[in-house]
Amino acid sequence: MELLNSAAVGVFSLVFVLLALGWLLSAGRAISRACFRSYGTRRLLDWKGLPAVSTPEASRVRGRARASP
Amino acid sequence: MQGFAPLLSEGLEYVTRPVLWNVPLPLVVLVYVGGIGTFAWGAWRVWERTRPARARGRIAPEVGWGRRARAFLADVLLQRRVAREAYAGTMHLFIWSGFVVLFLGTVLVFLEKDTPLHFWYGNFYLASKFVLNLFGLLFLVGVVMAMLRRYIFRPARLHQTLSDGLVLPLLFLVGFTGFLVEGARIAAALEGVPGASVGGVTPTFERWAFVGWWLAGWFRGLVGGESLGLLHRSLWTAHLVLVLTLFVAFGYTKLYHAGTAGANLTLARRRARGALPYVDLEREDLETVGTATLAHVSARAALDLLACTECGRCQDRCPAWITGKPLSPKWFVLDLRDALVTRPPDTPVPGRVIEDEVTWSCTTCMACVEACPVGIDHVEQIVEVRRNLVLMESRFPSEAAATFRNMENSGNPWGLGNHTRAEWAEGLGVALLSSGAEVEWVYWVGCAGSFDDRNKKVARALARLLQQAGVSFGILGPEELCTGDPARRLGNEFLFQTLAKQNVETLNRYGVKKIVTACPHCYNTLKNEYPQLGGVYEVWHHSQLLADLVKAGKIKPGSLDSATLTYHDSCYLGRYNQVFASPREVLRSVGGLKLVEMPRSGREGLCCGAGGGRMWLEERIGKRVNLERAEEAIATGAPLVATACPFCATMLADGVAARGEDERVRVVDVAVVLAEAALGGL
Repeated sequence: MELLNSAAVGVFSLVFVLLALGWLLSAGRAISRACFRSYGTRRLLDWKGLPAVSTPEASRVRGRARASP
Repeated sequence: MQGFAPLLSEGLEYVTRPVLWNVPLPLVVLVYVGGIGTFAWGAWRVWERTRPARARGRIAPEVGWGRRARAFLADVLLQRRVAREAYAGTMHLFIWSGFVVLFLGTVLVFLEKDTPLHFWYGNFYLASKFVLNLFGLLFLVGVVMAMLRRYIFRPARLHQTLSDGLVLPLLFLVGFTGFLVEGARIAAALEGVPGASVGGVTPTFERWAFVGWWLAGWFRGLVGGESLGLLHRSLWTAHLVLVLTLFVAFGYTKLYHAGTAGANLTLARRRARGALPYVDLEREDLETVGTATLAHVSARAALDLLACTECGRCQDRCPAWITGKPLSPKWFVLDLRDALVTRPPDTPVPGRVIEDEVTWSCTTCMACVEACPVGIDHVEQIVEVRRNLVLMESRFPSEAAATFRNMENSGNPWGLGNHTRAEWAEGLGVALLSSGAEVEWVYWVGCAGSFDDRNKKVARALARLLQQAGVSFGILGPEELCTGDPARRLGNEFLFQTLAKQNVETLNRYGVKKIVTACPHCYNTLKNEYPQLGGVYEVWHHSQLLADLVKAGKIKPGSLDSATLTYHDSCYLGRYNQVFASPREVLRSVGGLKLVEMPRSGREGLCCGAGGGRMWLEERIGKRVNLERAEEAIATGAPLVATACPFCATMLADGVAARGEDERVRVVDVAVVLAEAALGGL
């Protein structure tokens, strides 16, 4: 039982540490994209997304979009 | 650091907390039974609705368990695809990581309480409390970021539904009340309320649970003594009711993507992006082709639909949507999904669920697929609808009829005599395989290189470069037919297979091993789709071969007059086949040229508008896609716009001319740039 308890501590500790490192890496990638890539920077600042051309046909879909559940 | 120090060597058994102290037991039972039961009922509803899809066959595994495990690790657990966008990615990463760690915390508590294991005490307890508090806090930060984004800075691509309005506050309240419960328990323990701490100790070590500790101080100032026990019990009750609601929400709101998206990214992971599914048209029991009704949605497609998180990244990048066409990849998926789970299976898809113009607007550029954080293949599903329209309903744009006829009668979309295919090579001494030439490479010229005057120059440039480098190559000439790519993307699978089988027969007859082509559409079809018909070859794009030859010193690039140039990524070369570097290497090898990138480049490159057979269709709605792209290229100020695709070159040149910039801006293929530098002109 002592061994199992130690194993549980070891497994949880390892999983927490590895996950934390992995997520740090993912967050780092996301933030570096924003800082060092022009497109990423634009996306971070441009909250409204890319400008889309408005046409009656596209608006039809957009209208349906609003009506959908 | 008083309180952070006591990593004790004695009395470690007391450095822990009582599990499920002061909890109203009936409520716990209600959460387990009611919550999980309601969730299961919601999940069962969806499961039942997808019965026709599942009856059409299981999702055949396309990749091994190793790749699935890697996908689970990178795309699900570590959120690699989600984190491609800085704000939304970080926001979701916080929520997800908090969710996972808090879930692991629950598992940990379960193991401690309901199994013979006893390990949650002492230093491990302190460390775990710190980690759980940290990630719990990140969870709340992520939810607040999401609320700010949804309620204050909402991007156009996000639509709002009632459940969207409820889910985020619910997540916040679950996380927040979790901390309040902890704070109340610590406060009660510090005030000596019986049962609030193990062994009745005063748990100053709980400083490691830094958020709970801070809240405990606040509670002690607010409520004193025994009342803290009552407060703790009340907060527990509120927390459990919220958890119960969250369980229910998982079955009935888009929160279920936590399960379906993970399954889509791992279990249903696709092998290659460039190959459309093969249809055995000679099967005797074949009743229909493509998506005729909701009952014809495949299991894989159904999982795709259910995985959608409604984030709208696909819509933001879709060239059709950006230029005002009626296609939004997001709404294509959501309309189909909503129909799948609410309408009868015999509901027709084309014309009823998905309007024809939506289907024909797609350029199959894969920007949506590339952007999708949960691995949905919109393009595959759009082509399935097209297949039904073309092969079963005979309902398609009139221009497509002419293209199909030309390909059928002449073996090329232009409808020009196929016997003139090799005329571009006159005087160059290029070997024809029919003459018995033994060559290492077959140069697959493609229809554009053979018949289109602009692209004949590319063919000549490439042939001369290969000759200079001493590459042994030949061409098929009149024996080459269109690969069938436009027909397949337009939904005419029958015509595609007719042409492809003839080409495979020809290539296999000559024992061809290696193919080089300047057309990314031919490249993709030969490389990824011909194996479905027994044609397996080593296929190179000319930019890859040229880059190799330059590196090997077999082509000396030389230099041109000093100029800047920009490079337009072909979708079928870039996003489809991950060839981003080679064309740029070729361009950078030429002295005097300075490469500047457009804002949308590489994986984020914008389509020219020609893919998916759109090259052969009129563009009547909204702004022309090639204009949108040409304007972006013109805005770089570069006098040269390079590309590595004959169709992109044609579309961009038309766009540049339409903006009256054709005197200043020249659109050229990378092979032409290299040939002008290396050979001193063409």
